[in-house]
Amino acid sequence: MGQNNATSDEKLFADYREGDSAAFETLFSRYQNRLYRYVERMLNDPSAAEDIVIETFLRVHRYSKSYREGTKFAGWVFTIARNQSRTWIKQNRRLWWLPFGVKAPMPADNPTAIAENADIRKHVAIAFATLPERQREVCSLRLLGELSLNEIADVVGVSLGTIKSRLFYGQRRLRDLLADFNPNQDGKG
Amino acid sequence: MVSPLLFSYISGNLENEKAMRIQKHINQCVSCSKTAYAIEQVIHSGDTPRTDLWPRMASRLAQTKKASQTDHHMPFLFPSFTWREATAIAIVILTLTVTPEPLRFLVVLGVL
Repeated sequence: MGQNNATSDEKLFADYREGDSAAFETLFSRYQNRLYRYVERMLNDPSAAEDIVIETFLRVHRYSKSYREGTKFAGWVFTIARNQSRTWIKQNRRLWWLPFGVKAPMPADNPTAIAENADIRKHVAIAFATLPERQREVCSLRLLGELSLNEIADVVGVSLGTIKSRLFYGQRRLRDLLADFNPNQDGKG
Repeated sequence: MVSPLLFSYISGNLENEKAMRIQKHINQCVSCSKTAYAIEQVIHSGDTPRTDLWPRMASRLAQTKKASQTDHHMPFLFPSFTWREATAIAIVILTLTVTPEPLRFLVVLGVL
């Protein structure tokens, strides 16, 4: 999703390539939370997610010359993060898929928010962990990475129709998995 | 199909007319209302890093820049290969080794 309120990501990155260091910091601050949420949900490991966000932007710096003009910056960054995450998953596969591997969310600054959200966060984490990898990836990119469907298709490298299908089935599965925790479900519809 | 639009609807990125149509649909459709609820929960469950990552990032970036400046003084660096590239190179070398007349073989390959 583009930034409506300020300079576009592509313009900022062009500025950075021309030597404007502040543009890099702005880009990082724009993307760190989105990337973190996506990677954290994919890996279910907050500490590894932080490392991957940093490693992703190090690669953005390192390979800045290979960035093709006209490419969406968001798609490029998320592609790097996705590749990093997949490498991490391969390295940790033996432990990663175990249901016991679902970790509790990391503590936030606001204790009230923790108390209110801890339960649902845990359930969402478990629900995501049970999604097939491809559906989890598309749902994470859409719901947490806030990418458009076209951007997701570029990142994942499949057709728009496939993305819509994976999103549909992923969301349906999340709906079923989270329905038990919906206090209003009987009154809805 | 409503499903791909639900996230945009929940995050407020739909035009008014579309948003009203989705709202109307959600009010009538139990399945979509449950999906919308699930999406809301997922969005709200999204964490942020424990601390701002920029100081760590800036430190790593400085290290990388310093290392790349040091690299300029190194006369030769062995190029890094992926395993696919290394395999392809190994096959080429092996083929040339076992071919009786490697030069002719390369010429034929070039012609092809």
